[in-house]
Amino acid sequence: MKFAIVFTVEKSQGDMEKMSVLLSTSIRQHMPNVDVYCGLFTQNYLSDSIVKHLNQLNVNLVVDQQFEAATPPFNVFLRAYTKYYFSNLLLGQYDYLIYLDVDTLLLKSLSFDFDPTDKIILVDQMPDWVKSFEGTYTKMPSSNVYYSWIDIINKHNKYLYDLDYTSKEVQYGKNSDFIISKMIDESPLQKIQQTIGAYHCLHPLTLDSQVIHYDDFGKDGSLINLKKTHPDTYNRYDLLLKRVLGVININKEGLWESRMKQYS
Amino acid sequence: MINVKIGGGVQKYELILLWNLKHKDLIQDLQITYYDMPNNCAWNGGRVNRTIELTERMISTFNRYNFGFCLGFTNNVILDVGDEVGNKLLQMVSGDNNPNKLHGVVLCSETLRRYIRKNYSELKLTYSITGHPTTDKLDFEGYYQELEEKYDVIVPKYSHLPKVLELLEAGKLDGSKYEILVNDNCNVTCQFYSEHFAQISHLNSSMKHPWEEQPEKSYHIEIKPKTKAGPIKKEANCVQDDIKHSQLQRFYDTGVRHFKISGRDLEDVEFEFRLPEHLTELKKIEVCNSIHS
Repeated sequence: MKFAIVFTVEKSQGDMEKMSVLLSTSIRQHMPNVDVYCGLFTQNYLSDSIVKHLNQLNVNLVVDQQFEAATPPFNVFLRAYTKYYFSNLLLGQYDYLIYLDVDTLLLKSLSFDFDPTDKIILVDQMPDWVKSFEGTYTKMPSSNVYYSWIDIINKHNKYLYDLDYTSKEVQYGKNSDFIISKMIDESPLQKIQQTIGAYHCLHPLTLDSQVIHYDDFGKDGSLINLKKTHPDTYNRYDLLLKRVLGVININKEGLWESRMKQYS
Repeated sequence: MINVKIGGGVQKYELILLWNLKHKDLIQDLQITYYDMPNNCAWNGGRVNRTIELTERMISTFNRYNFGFCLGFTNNVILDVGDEVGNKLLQMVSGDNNPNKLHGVVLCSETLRRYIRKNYSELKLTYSITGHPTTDKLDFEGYYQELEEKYDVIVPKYSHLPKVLELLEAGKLDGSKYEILVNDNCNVTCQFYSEHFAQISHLNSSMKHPWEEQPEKSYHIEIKPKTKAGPIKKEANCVQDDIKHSQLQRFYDTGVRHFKISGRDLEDVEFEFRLPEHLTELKKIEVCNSIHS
């Protein structure tokens, strides 16, 4: 089965564009031949140095649209649009696509013990402590709430691309997440609980983890768990961060670790 | 009976009321449905949102005159199916507010379609002309048959019409499901078809009052992709293009009874002048048909 990896990035938020180099480096390290597409859909085009890195890593830069990034919901729109765009452009050419948030790192080659072209959807169930935390800001449903930062996009589920729960105070798209979670439960799609990766604080990293999801460097915990479980990998990326990308990674417990302690 | 969907139901509401009185004879044998994209809803698409408000009184008037009303929820990236404005609008055209079962939604998002089908099942769903891809390299039969399974009515892209007509005449598509846009604004050769509508979707999703906030971008949105060779200026090239009478007749003969007249950005005077022309044209087809039969 043929698949490609897709993601999107823009030069608008701190070190976001540098994260795309980390992501692409990790993809190439474990999957040298997979096709990778990076959507550049905003007027905030990448820095020349970042373009150079991505070209060297053989990432296909797809330039289109030039949306004007302005208001807070924009990132939500951009992620949803990226899945919409690539599912229209590439499904057919590929059996399925893997969408990754730009702040992820592959720790090994992506492989699945289920059929990624079947009627499936990857879900990550919201833990009880997040529900407790969120419950202080908004009414939480008693039913399941899913979120996802890695999506398998195939012809069966390519439309459910707006599942993107980020658990931060009053979030844009919250109603959507609740309703979409319900729609998934009522759909014929088989739910695959996400076991291929680790959110940096929700699921502690293990040596078997295939992917790590981190947030902004230094603010929300960043690569702290990676250092504990994959020291060699951590050292390699830390070097890349410091020497090549000019980013200082402050490895401290972040917002989510403190919230987890508070609400668990 | 011929069904005609007419744009501007909210923006040109007052004009429409007068117009209906003036052209009572012209519309008496037609099932009229108005449509518009009101209340700066994030789900709106097709054109940049402007501040126009759909009211209960308008819906009540449409009901009294047995007109349908369709919401133009044609944003192709729906971010929040729980959107309060969108759901309020859906409630305004459904349940007791839809006694004649004529109201509906024009849309192209699969997520929104599933949501509305489940929660507002009585509403008629029309696949928007804005939802088609830029490329015309499609398996037309499979593409439209899939849409037939999902939607009550489908508006084909203008450049698809010859192929759709061929498939309708060959009995491979269901004519009762198709709505033909009589006056299209889009150039059939436009290379930025879906891109243009994506830009509008983004503006409507990300701004509360995009028409007022970015008036210089309201009519034509420039799409300027940057390539390895450097930026190329792409500009949506819009024209007014009316479908020919003979072609309309052929669609009618295959069972097509839904037609659409776009009001997108038409001035009031132009709207008032063009509408009777189009309706007269459509009525002629039915008259011709009854004479022949």
